Amino acid sequence: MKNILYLSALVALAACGKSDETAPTAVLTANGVPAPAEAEAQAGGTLEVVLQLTDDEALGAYRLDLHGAGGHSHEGADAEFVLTSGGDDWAALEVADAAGVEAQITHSYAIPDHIRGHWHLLLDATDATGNEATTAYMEVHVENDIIPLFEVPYTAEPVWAAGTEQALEGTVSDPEGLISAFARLLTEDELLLTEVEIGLTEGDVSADLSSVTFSVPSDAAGSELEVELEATDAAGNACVTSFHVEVE
Amino acid sequence: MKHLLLLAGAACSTLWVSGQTPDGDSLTSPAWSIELPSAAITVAGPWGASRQLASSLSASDQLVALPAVRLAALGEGLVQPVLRGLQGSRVAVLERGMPMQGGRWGSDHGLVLPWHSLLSQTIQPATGLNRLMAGGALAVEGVPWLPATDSTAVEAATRMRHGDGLGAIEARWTHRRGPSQTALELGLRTFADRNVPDSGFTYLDRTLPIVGGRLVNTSGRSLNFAASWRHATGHQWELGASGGRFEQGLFPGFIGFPLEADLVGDAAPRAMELPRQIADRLALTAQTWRADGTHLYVGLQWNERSELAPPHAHGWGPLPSDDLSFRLREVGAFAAVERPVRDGVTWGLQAEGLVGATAGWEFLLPSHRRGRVAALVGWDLPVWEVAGRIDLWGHVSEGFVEPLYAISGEAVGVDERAVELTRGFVGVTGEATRPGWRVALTTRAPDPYELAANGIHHGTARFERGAPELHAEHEVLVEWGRGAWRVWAAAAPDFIYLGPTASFAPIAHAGQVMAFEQAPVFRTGAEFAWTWGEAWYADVRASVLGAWRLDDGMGLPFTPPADARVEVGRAVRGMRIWSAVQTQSPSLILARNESHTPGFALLDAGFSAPFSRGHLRLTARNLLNTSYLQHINPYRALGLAEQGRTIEISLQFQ
Repeated sequence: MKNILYLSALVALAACGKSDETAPTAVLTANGVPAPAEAEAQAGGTLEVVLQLTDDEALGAYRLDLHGAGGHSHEGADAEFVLTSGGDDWAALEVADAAGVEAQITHSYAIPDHIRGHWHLLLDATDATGNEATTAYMEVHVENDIIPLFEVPYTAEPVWAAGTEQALEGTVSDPEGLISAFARLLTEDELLLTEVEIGLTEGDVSADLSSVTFSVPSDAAGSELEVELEATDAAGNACVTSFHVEVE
Repeated sequence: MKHLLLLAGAACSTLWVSGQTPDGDSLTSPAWSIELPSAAITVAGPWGASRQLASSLSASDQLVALPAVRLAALGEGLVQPVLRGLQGSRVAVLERGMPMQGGRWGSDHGLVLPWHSLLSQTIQPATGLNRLMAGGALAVEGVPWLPATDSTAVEAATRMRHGDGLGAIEARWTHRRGPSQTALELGLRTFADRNVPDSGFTYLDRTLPIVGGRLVNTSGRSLNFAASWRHATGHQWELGASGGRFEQGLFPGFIGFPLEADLVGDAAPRAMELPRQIADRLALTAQTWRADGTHLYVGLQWNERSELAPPHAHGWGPLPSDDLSFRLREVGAFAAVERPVRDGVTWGLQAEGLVGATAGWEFLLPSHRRGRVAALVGWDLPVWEVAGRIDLWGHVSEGFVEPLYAISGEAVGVDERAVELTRGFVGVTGEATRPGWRVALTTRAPDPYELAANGIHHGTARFERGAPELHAEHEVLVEWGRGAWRVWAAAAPDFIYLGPTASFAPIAHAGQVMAFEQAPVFRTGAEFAWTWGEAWYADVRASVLGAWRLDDGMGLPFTPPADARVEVGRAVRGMRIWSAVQTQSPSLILARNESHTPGFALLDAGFSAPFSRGHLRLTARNLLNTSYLQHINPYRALGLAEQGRTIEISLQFQ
């Protein structure tokens, strides 16, 4: 009987059709920089994205996804601690069919004036059979010379002890001159705990954040708090950014 | 030499587990068996129960010791039986004759059963026409061992595990006076975040950290209970109730892209944060056996599974106001009657209905209703046993539309996620068995998920789409067994499976659309299990499985790689010490776009000894803390390793 079974298996497998098993390739370039390197972009400018898709038989579709890094910098232990402004205000999603065995597609995205930080750009592609290309992934670093700049020396999420007083570190600056700056401490649910106005005098182009001291609630152990920073320059350009703090 | 006979199952298989109270290391414990209505795994032979039960008594450990059975696990409690590579609605669960329905919307979802209980693994042999139950079923009784004589007894068991910090306590009270028997059982369990041997994992070519050797937010807890009352005179009655709640966190990477801040954890390995799942179940059954052989049973069940997640929007719509991303609540009723009409001939009728309602801000499956009626008949012929069943299924599901948003937050259209659907199916299931042989034809109607799903399924990290046009699938299976060997082959012209499409979901973070389709499929496999020796013994179990689409030659997704387990040990005066190597080959059969899983070998060891009122067991799993991936487990999609080393002590008292 075993022989019959093996024979039936062989016959069945021999009768198998063959299909395209070769995945397409997807090459992603942004502002002239190929993935996976990081692309540089300037707020107020444009991001030029070029997709090059190829397949041995027929392309199927592609999906281009641009979204804020939102705390997932993916760099493991060497993760860069980056303050992002307007992370949710700039995004794009393109889903479209692709035809032929080769396609070059260009997308151009205007970059808002008020954003700064890192964005993720991912390209997925399929062929007509459903084989999926390896995801092409890169980060887009948006620099901004328009809005005020907050800089902090942290390399990872700060860890604060519950029930203690904690002073901020870092600076806020703007070549146009700062007219107001605030630091706020919020809960995980974005409830305001404390708001501190950072002292400025007219004509200040920078200020030290060490003047800001927060009282960490004694019942906050085990939770995360959010520090929100906001500044406006003399031209009326505003920067709002934030980072998380782990409370132990 | 101990004998093992393994009869194994078919495509749409109902899996019964049979057994009885373990008696420590005694080798005289009767055989235990797993039988499938439309296919069967039967483990017979005097050692099957005793050796396995001595090393670990939980139902899950007993099952994975069988060459044809795996358990796909998303966590300690999210356990799903996988039989010859089949899972989900193809392996249903019977509870006192009633097929468990509902509470699962994806094949990754575990069943709310006390899989890891030391007391609840019982289990009665498949009887009558239940072996032809629809779907496939794993029968696990909540309250097993009713005392044979007038008595009152209390049993208790406790488990503590180093590794994931498992702690469990279980107790059972049984009472018999004359014809009345009562049993009550309660189990509580808690476990911390899963320990893994890695410090990071790779996702989208990026290395992300695993802090402190634990997968953050994978802890959980559960409660299960069972009660039964049986009155046995010439006319027997049995009433049963069982249920439980299971709650477990989900690794943050399953809901959206893993955030480093979430991966760091909160230094509280037993805390459950978002996202998490809660599953509840309550089942009520009643059975009666008349003196003329008529068996009537009815059951009601309520299942609810909720997925809670941080409010987020796939796309640019407004953020939801609560954490309930998806909930499936299903209420089902079942009734069946079996009656012998003359020597060797039994007929039966079954009817079941299911009402499912979905809720939450993330659409995956519409509300639905489903019904089935069946007529069954069985003949016991001189050599062959033959049984057949005709089923009529009905399915109704609702339509669902939601707004489609632009990045500005403005609604720019509608996204039709489900269409109203009314379908009916007819199917014939039959089998003929004789010693060593089994031939079966199975028919399975597509389940609600296969027909109407359309959304992101976080358990598999995929966008999954049903196909309203699916028709019932059929499979013919032939198997043959002798001694330690079992060989089988099955062909299905219209096997339903989830395959990749060329398109992408039109919502953010969703990825390639996976859609249910039907294709001709050939599956085949072989299993081996044998034990040599008694005082000194060696026990070998192995299985190999292949499953391919015949139209393109590709493998079926989640086809388990070949595996083997070799245990050597010494048993003397009730004590036993053993060591085992469990190995699995690399995944050689892959579906389109399915990633390769490397092979692995694990070292286990254990010791058990009886004492005056109970039994002590020490069990070490993955002793070398090997990092490995399990091909059939959902965590593999994220590149997350399976559980690392665990050392468990369990005590059972009587």
